[in-house]
Amino acid sequence: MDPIIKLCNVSKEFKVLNRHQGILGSVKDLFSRDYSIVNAVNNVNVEIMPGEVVGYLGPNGAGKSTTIKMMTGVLKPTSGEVLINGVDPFKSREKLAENIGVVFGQRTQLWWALPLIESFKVLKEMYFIDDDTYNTNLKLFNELVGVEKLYSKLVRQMSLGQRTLCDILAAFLHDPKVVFLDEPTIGLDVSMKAQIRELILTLNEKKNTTVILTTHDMGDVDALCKRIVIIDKGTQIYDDSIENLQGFFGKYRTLKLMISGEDYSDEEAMKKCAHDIEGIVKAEFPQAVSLTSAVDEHWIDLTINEEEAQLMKIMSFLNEKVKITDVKIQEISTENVIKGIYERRG
Amino acid sequence: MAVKKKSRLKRFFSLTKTGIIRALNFRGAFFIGLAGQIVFIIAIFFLWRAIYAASPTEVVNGMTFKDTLIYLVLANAIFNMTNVYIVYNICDDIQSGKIVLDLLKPVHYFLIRFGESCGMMMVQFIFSFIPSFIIIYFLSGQVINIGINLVFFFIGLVMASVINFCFNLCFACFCFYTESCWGIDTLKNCIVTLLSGAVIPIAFFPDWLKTIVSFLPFPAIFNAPLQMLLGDNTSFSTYGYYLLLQVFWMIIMLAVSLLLWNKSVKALTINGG
Amino acid sequence: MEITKNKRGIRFYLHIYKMLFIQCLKTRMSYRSDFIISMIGMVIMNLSGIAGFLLIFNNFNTICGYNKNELLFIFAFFLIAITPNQCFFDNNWNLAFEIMDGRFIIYNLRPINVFFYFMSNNFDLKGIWRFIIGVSLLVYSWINLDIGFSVIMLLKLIVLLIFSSLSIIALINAAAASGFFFIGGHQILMFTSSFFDYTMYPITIFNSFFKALFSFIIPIGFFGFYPCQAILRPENNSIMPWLTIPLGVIYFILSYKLWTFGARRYGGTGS
Repeated sequence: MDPIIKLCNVSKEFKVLNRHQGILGSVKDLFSRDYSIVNAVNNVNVEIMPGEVVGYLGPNGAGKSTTIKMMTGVLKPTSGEVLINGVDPFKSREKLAENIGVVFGQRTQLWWALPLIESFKVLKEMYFIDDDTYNTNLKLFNELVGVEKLYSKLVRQMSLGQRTLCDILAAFLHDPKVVFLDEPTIGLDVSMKAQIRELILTLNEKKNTTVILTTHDMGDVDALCKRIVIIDKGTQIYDDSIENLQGFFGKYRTLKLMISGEDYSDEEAMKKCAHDIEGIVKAEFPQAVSLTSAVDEHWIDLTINEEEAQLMKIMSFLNEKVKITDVKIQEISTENVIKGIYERRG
Repeated sequence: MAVKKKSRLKRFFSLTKTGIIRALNFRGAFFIGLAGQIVFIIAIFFLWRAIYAASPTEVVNGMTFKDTLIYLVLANAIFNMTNVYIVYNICDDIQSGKIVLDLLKPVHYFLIRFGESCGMMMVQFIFSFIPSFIIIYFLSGQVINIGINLVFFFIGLVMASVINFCFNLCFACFCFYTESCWGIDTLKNCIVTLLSGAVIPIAFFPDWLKTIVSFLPFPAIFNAPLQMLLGDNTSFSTYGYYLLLQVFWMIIMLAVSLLLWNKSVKALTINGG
Repeated sequence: MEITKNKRGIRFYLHIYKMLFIQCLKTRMSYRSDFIISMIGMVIMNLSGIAGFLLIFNNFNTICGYNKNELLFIFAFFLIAITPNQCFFDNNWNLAFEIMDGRFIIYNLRPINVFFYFMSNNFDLKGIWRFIIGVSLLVYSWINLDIGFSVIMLLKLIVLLIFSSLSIIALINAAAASGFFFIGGHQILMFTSSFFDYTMYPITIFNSFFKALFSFIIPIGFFGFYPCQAILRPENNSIMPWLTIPLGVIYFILSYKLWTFGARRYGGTGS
């Protein structure tokens, strides 16, 4: 099977005017020719198969939106090759547009002053959607999110959540092969986010639509993506499945212990206790070099790299040395791994 | 007491500075304003030259071709200097709801807006009015006096901008009751450009129109400063007359605009989100 | 039913436009006070233009050999010719703002022509008043001009109106498209539209340099003066009015190419 999305050595540069401050600066800027070149995207390579749900992560200004814009035909890459569904998005914009759907976070593509159903009707004509597909999809949308009650509402009158929901539905209406979602859950409340994630997942499963999703929200990532790509300062620094992300630094888990006989309100004493325990463990398991300890309210946290020493062994060792009254084991969160990846880059 | 006054002034000037930077931030924008003025000068130069050429007399309604040209260019220049989108910006703020933030500030709304407008007017004055003045000065063969009349003219301009500001504010009040920014702004602009003498000098108006105009603030905004600038051997009593006229209208317009404004703010409705 | 994919011709675009047009009208009319005040503003704007003229003619009789009614005729022609631009291409005035806040990229994402998509988003209903006032003024001045009436004259006028309006659209397109390349795009558009104030002046008032400038570079001459020559000065048998036709087509095509070039080049804001 051929990849449906293929980026080969893609880069994008921008010219930016260097602005100065104050009144004199503003006057200077009027006549200035002082530009600098910004590398928004640097030599990116990626191949995505049909049906995948891929998350694009990265700090603000990393180049995520720029990459999406190049994939949807809005921007032309400075160098490299982009192939979506077999076509160059910039050269064959109209041809590609027939087979993709795009949702840009806060900017609706629906007609502002039209009732929702009228927007759908226009889209039906625009994409030459036949009656059967149109009606089936609308029925499906209604089953999933009850969109019928929004039909007569003007897009202008909708809340942000409703608008985003309708934008996503509109993006899937014509059964596209790929759907690009640029920060779709930004600014939404928790229940709306959940609803939208469900929607995207169901549509992806039912129609085998490839979904590319850029987001800051770890909840999105955990709920939707099997594969993530991390971009920072224009360079791709990670491209793999989410399981492997956990093991990116090694298999870290946190062992939370509640020790009896300790005064939990005395921060100093707790810290000393944690330090002592760390000392004991490291003495017994000298290979556990990356072991760290911390205090979390009345818990003492031991973060262990399981590639160095097994958590269960450490726990049973400690059970003989210290009075443990309660135990919790935590997987390291995706968020912390990614934070670590950013920090490692520095 | 002195400390309070200083900080108020400082606040005012910081607003002015904001207005200046705002005006300068669009790289081409203020070049464009000047370009528009130049096009206007070119167009009416040729138009009125042709008009006077076909006229049987050289002096019509007390004005020669040069008189008319100077008057029109400068009236237009004053209009462009004072037309800093006051109505449009206020309407915009009302529509977006931003007005609430400004109304809550410790400084009176008029001062906030006026401070900003002053900044923009200063930029317009330097980059649009002065060049136009220089152009028309040389184009008309340097017939404009350079003397104390310039000082009076400048004072007149400052007062004119206050009167103009209040006048604009009266119109801006209507924006509380309707959503049409464009409509109100256009209405105001059409009335002002026509009745100010910027399209055709007031001397050319039919008598009934002249009478109507004398009851409106426009002569105080446009005609007064111009007469002070262009008059030959103007006596101090004449200067005094025009300045008093301006003061008179300044008081009236301030009162009217404050009244209308307070009434409108009470009736404020804000768009929900 | 056979699905006719990839058949995006005139019928397709007309169909889509009709759908959007009807909805746009419905919305416009629902904003009561805005609707009325805009109408009033438009009417006043046009009437004040006429009033300015009348004030001049209160004191003078002719300008460069053209009397009051002839110039009113030219003005009326212009009012009618500008209506298509005012009504159908009004979205050009929003272009600079949509470019600046990055909203414009969405127009590149549908399988239809970007120019069409953008323009179809807005219809200016109040432009219809330009047409109404224009036609009334045309009738009034025609009657007062004593030049007689024939169907041929009317047909000539209609043809010239059509191609003249193409030039007007072209000028505004080009000015708006500058927003793709410069930040002051809106200012450039406003500056360009200020030239409309001078369309009723006879081009003959200018010296040769400006005559050429206002005939071919910023072709306000072809927005009213030259086309009306065919009716007002038929005895001259001048070619100028008929140049309106090819120039209208050329200018329109050029401005369209410039506009779509800018639209493709635009990459949005943010990263």
